[in-house]
Amino acid sequence: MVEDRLLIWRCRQGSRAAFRRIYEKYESDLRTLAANLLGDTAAAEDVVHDVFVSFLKVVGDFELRSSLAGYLKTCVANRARDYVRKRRGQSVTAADVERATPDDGPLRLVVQSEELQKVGSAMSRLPYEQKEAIVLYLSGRMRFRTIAKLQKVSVKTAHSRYRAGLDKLKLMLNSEVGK
Amino acid sequence: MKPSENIEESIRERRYRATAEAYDKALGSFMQAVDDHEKQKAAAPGPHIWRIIMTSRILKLAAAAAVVIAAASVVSYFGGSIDGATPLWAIEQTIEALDDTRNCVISGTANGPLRSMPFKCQIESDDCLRYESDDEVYVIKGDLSHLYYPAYGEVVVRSGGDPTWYHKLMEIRLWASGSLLERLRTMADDWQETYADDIQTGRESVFVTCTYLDRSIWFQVDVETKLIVRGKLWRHVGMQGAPAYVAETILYNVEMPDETFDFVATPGVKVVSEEERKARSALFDEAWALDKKKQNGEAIELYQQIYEKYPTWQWAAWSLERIGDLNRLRLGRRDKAVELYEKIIREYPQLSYRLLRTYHSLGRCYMAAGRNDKALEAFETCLELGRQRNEQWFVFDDCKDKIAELKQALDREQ
Repeated sequence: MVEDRLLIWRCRQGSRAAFRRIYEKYESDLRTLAANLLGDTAAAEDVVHDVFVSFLKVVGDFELRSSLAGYLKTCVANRARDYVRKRRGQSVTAADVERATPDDGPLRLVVQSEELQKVGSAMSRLPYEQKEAIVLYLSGRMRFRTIAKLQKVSVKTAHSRYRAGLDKLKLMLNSEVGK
Repeated sequence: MKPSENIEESIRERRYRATAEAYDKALGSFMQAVDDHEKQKAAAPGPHIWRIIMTSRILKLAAAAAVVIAAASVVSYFGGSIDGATPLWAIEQTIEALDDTRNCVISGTANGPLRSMPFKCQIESDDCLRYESDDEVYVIKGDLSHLYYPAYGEVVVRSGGDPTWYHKLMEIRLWASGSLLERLRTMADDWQETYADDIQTGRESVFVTCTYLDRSIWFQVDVETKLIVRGKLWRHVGMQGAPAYVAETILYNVEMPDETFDFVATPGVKVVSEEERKARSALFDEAWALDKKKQNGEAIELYQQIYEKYPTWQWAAWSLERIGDLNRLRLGRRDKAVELYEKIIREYPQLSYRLLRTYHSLGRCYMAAGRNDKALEAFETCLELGRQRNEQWFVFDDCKDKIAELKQALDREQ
């Protein structure tokens, strides 16, 4: 937190090194969050890039009220939702999650196990609001209160979306294993 | 274990990482945005610092406190030290002494990513500067800047000042300008002064260390003249590793020819106008945007145009390499990629930094095609070219891994 305040102060002075440090510090978490929300690594890269560029533009007037990580994650969630809205009509399929290979485009998706691939595939079939609640809570490590604020719903609804999403995932995965 | 049994943990574990190369490019793209943003900021007139201070209550109080402290320091200085152990010196004297100088010439060593080289920097007033090393010559006179790259055989002319160059040059000028030293004293962290005699000359000196905007700075002040006589700058906090600049000698009030700050292009050098600079940057941006959208054919066409229209531009070789990368990584045309990488090696032998990457990519192509002897040769050349490089780079680690792998494979074949 103290380091972030110092970095922001240095960013305001035009320190390239400070911007670089912020990028290096948060890029990986934000990329993971965006990729989990979108199921598309190329789109995730664009979203993360846009978030950093928009941070660059506002840093002059930026006031750090809570944590920088929280602010950046919220920006990623908002932009990811915008992206999905624009893309609505085109379905996000499991193939989107699995298609990235070392030689397929600039990003490499590191899938740690077959199970994780299956989870990703199942998540792509969830309603976006439920998937968002799950990803923000588990991958983004956000509180339900923050998720509720972001989704403009009550804390109870955010929690219900999370639970309902998890139940559906379990059902999907059990039926896949049973095949 | 079924995935449904521990689903929360599975989701927490899902990590997405870019390859080192992709990460480098994404970071590069962001840092470019930072540079562009800083340029725009520098171009827009900002409020005067005094106005900022006077409009903020806290800053007003801080400024008043600074004035009181400064006044107390002056009183303390004129009173001298009680035991006489501390030399009579204060940074303000050096600021004043520097302001009284007409010009200065700094000579030393610049440690670049690939090699170290001597540099000479002549400075007169706040707006005339000439910096020369084997790799680059900057000449700034008022609003007009010339940047000459001997390796590319071209000189870029800019008017209206250039903040990017300014930042680079400010690093060298920190020891040579009263106004910049004053700013450094106000803004720097960890300011420390050590009093000792210079080992070589035996003269009374003050050695100052500080950090400023993620740079570590060291300089030596001669107590008698109050002037800075040597300096070092690291582009990171902490003084480990080779400094980016070492100012070994700083001479003041040197006789300089009138034409010192006039840039004269040597015959055969291509002069790039402001219009051409903008046109080629726009073409590059367009190519990069298409590349990002994976419109490979269109991107390749524009990269090809960059190479053909501006072959001496530093991004021409990059564009050619990118065409190779797109053929290799996205289009699966390894033969075409090899052809392009070999073309870069033939046509840009002087660009050792570019060739490092090119040989690395070439090695990967050959390795994927099963041509292990050629791959080994390419990776070894990459390492050889990077032998004098001052920093760690993922390409070198990858080369070392691949060389070990290839040697094992070749041993098995024999």
